[in-house]
Amino acid sequence: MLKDITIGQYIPGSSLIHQLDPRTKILAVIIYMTALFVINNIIGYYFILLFSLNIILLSRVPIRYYLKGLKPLLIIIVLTVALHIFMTPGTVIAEFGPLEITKEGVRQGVFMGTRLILLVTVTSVLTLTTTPIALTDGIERLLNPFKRIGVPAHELAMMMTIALRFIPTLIEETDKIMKAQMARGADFESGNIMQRAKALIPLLVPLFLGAFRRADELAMAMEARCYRGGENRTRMKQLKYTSLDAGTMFVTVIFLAFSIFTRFIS
Amino acid sequence: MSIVIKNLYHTYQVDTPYETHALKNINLEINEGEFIGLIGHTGSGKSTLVQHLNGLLKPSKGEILVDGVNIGQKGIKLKEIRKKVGLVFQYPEHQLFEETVLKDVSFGPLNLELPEGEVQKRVKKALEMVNLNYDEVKDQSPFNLSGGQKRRVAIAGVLAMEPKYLILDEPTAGLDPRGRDEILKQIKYLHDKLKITIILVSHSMDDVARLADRLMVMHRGELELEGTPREVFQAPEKLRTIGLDVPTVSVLLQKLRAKGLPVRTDLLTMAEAKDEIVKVLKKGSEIHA
Repeated sequence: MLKDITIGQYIPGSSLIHQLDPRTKILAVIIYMTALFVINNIIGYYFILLFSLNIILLSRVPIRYYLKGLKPLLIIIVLTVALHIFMTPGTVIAEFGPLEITKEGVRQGVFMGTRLILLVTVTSVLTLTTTPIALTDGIERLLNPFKRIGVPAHELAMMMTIALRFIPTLIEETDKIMKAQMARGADFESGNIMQRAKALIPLLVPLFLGAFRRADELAMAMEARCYRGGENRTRMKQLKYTSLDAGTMFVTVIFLAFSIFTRFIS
Repeated sequence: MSIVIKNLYHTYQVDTPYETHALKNINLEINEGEFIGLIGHTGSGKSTLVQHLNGLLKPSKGEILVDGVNIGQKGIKLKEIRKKVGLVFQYPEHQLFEETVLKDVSFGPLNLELPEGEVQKRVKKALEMVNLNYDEVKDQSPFNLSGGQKRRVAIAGVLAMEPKYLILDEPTAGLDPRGRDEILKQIKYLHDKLKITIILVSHSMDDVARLADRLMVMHRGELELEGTPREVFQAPEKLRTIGLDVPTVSVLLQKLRAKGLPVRTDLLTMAEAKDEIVKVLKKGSEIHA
């Protein structure tokens, strides 16, 4: 039941996108997001849809993983689209009592929905093709220049690594404690809201205790191995910037330029 | 009355790159009153298997009958099954959550919706079953007890549901030798005196060899060997290839035999081995004399 959580899920593979340096992928996603908010007409949307579809196919990750990532956001997407369709003033094309659908509303709604879906899907390309460790490594390196103005790049990255590292552990632990309490006749699935909330106590108390115990043990283990922050630390896996990365960056920048250009076509 | 498993398969994370076949075609029968030792290397599927016995995991294929009732059929009351088949997880002390020992052990019986007097009675009985003094510990916080005591409180939490079958998943893991011996003694007592059917999951041959009537050896999700401890330990090479050790006593006897001392190799306890060695040595010296 808890196995469906996809945060930080990585699908191993050897596609072009898997091979990219995490820094390239993070920067490319940021540029992509900028482009996504720059475009404002139908040509731009056609263009970006085509581009995104290509990225998704290039990642060689089965489509159902992307769909799974969209599922939790379904309500938000539907709500956004509906609000835009009904609330935008303009030429009325249909009426349902007090609700009016306008031409501009439909346009706006479809655009916004597409934007949200693409945003989630393309960020999923990043997380599905990059191991969490590579991802935080990339973030650390990208934040490095900001160290001078006091951004604790290494510490932030380390915290993220640890948090990501413990997600599966905590899921597993939750599953185990839940089963142990179910073996003692606990019922997590029926009853009203109050009963269900109360039923969670036997799960949450041991879970928190476990998390604190783990945090304590980990801190101790890190200190025992002389961990003292990021100064002069070398790493086992060096990030390498290859011609593939340079090519990707080039394509992405061209893509951004073209996106801006589409604003001026009408 | 018995637990019967027919053609059981279990697959984790179906249709992902992480798909693993944890159990493959398991067939077995556990009769009432038996003491079963379930052994296997880490990742051999023992824990997955025992979680099927009280319906915590659903089989991918196959069926499980508890006292003739198929627990996979629709509309089955899993609470009834869980009352009958008690499961003590690995490191059970990690599931303690209440303010007092009394409240924690009551959790199971209260879930069974028993009257308060009955709950009280059962808690007392369960704590005594694991050799804890009811009046001494009942108002203490379970978190202030020692490691071995915590574990016994957790086991009492399952015993208070008065299961007919009791499964213990590595109940001695992480305990010191004394704590280990105490827990094992308690388990033996539960089986011998209270007639509870026991399924003891372990990777320590020394523990199970002394206690179990019948051993089931698992390897990579399959039931590799089955039989009395004596029968199973007759195949030391096979056990070693699947990463398990033979009890120290068997190793000693087999080595002595290889050196030319004609001792029996199917003995399991230290006392039996001693008698046998003494007997054989005496016979030897008589011949030489």
